[in-house]
Amino acid sequence: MPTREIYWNIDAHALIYLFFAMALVVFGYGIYIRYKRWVKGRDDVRWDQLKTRLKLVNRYALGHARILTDRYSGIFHLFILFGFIILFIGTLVVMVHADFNVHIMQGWFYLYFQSLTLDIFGLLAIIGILMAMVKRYLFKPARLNTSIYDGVIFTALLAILITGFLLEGLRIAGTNDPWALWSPVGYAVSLLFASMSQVQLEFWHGLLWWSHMFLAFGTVAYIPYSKLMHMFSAPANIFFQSLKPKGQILEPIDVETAETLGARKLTDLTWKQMFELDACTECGRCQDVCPAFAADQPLSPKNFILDLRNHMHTQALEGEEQPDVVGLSIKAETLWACTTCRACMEACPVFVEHVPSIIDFRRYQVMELAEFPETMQEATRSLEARGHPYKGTQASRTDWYRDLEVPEMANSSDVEYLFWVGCSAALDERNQKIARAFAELLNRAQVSYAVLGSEEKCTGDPARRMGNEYLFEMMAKENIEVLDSYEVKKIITVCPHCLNTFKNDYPQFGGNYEVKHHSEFLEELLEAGHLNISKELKDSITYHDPCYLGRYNEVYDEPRLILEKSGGEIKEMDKHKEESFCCGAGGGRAFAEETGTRINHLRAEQAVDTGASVVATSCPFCMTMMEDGVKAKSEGVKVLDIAELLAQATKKE
Amino acid sequence: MKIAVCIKQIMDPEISPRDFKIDADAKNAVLGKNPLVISTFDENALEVALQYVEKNSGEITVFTYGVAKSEDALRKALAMKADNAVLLESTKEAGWDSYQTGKVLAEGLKKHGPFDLVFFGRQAGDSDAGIVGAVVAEELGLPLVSFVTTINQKDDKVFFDRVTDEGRERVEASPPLAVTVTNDEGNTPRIPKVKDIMMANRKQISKESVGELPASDFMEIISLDIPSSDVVCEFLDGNEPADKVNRLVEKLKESKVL
Repeated sequence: MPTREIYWNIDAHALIYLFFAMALVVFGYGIYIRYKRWVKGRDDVRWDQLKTRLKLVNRYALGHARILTDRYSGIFHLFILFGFIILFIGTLVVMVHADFNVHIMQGWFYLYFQSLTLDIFGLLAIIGILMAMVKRYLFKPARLNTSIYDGVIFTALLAILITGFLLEGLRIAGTNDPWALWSPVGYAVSLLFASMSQVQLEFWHGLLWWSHMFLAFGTVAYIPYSKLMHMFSAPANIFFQSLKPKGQILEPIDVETAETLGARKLTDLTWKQMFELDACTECGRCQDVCPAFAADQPLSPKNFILDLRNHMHTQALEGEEQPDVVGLSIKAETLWACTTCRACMEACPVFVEHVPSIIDFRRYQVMELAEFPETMQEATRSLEARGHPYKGTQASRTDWYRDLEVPEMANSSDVEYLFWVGCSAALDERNQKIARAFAELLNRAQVSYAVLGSEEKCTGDPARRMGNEYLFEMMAKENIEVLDSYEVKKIITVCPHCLNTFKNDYPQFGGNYEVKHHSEFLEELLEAGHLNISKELKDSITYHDPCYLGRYNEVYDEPRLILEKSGGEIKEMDKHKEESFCCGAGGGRAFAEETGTRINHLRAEQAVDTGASVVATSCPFCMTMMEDGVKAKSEGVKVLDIAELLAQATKKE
Repeated sequence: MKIAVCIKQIMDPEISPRDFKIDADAKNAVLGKNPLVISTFDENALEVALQYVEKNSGEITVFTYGVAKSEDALRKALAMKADNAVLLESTKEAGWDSYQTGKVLAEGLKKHGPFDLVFFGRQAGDSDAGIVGAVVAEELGLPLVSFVTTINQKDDKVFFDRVTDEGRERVEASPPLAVTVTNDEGNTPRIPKVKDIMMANRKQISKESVGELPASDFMEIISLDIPSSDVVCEFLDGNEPADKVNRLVEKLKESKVL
């Protein structure tokens, strides 16, 4: 029966168990010091819904669903990961067969698995490592920072694999293995040793065998002290990911009882927020997609996480004397550069949640220290006093429909939908046209709706994203009271920020509504035949996905369908849908001074580069940003909301 | 140093012109749904006082004269970290007579005083009169330093930086005195911390009724209206720029602008 001689040429092989135990002790200690730090964080339950979580691990850890979005990196990572998994199983097979005396390593299993499969996967692992080295050392993508430790890991892994094949070759040569051809790589290597004497073969085999063992056990022991840690922490982090809706990334604070509002010290974060720092593989994909980083603003989501990690491993985490994170490890300006666009979180292969941590630190700066950019302070004051963030606006909330037939809640009964206009569409002169176009469409389709008019106030979204949870909570409760008084059940809005707040934030405060963005609603009206295209647009249109509509609420198709049905020819930008590039207005940034390049100019350039004659969007904040940016880049390109375009296309002659 | 800051609650001056309405019969502006805020220069005055106390020492009491709702303004001042607050409560909206307001405030200040420094905004954001500070100074017999932006103390000397028509000057003066404050980069009012807002909501405000004051002897509003402005746009004919300029000059002469 096919098999091979185990522990050929090796005396006292049982010593490996001693050495392995030693490696495990070092390994365990490394894990233990990390663990001791993680558990200093606040509580959070991330182990409910076991089945869903395991499915996610299967899809994203084993299945590489996100890693493969960069095809090359995904493939080499698959090669390395599965190469080592199969080789590890092969090693277990030897142990079971030789030391537990359960004879499995024989027959077809020996030939197909233990010989052929192991050889193939070992070779794939070597190819994978070489591919990774080519990427890191030759192509040097900007997202990767390379240190000596990367070299150590490559060398160790390669050395394990190469010594493994050399050993196999030496054994084949030394034992005249009749099944040698089933181990093609080992057999090829054995040909190199054809001229060696038996003594030489045994000498080199012995030496390499022990070297191979020490390398492998040494690497195991090294795991928790290196980037290799991610082989455990990354799948675990995928397991612990948030199962809430994508748009619900912030948790309320009990302002009355909270010891600290937001995060001052690292341990004001949850254990999960601390744990994920050790799951980061430093791949830098978050940095690659970050609009603030692209615009040379002081934020790299990767460095944010790595600086926090460094803080976690070098600073005291005990007691109240532990240092402030902001100022020591993170610069305040880094926090304020984030547009909360979620591109980093969408790109991260291991599901690090950058934005909630940024907001937690903002919360402390705003609520406990009252230290934040002056223009954002101005917006905050305005929110408090006036219920909108625009100080000195010339418009009132009812201006935009002075000459239109728009019913108000206070004077209507039995209204099906509340049309929530939002501050930007109500008060910004340009964006009032969006509200007007949408109201015209509603009238045309004879929808039963009304607006709140002067009773409408900001949803509180900018306050929440800027970190002023206290103000947000007050505004949310006030709005919920008004909505309750009119028994509002269904809301439609032209603003994705309002949409997200109603849909994902208000349920945390007892406000539950059926909320639709105007793109979803208009698409339904078109589909049902309540709106009919009378004049095709015949424009080439590029559509900019608003972050709070796309990545936060996964509405990608409806706006495009509306444009297509209106006769527009869609020319996609390179970065669209899940990969859309923020306009720069989110996270309270609409109210902040920009330093460096302007994010909206970068995005406008991408839009203009498509050659489309119209840039369409479906968010009034994006509108302001895109219009400003497009004006600077190109004359003649129009920026229009989908409602404005559809109103044109459905106009009755 | 015992410090008083007098503040006024006014209708938000930042509201849209379309939301600003007046009641011609009552000869007053209509509040409606418009927000109420602390008059802007008064916030600057409070900020200057707070900065002075932080650098040196002292206790700040804020005063306001107004109806019960004015309490909100005092709470906000407490949130900014004033120590005490006094509401000189009237049953009716305070009128537009600055002299009367000054007298009411002076009485309150006498009762709770004496104060070393009494701060005012240089003028209220609604009436823009700029009289109350001077009236109170007169009533209390205090010297007045006006248009101050910052206060510094060296040893026992107090220096006031003030804005004048010619530029800026530094004045040395010894308390007790009254100070009116104008806005400046350095005295942008602070945003209160959330803990301080919550503390302010629990603080005691001393309320003293001043009842309803008799009609003013000094001032009467005869009529109140929003000035209307009509804009007429006319395009001038002419082929050459020179023609157009001539036509423009003619037009301007016709309408007696030139």
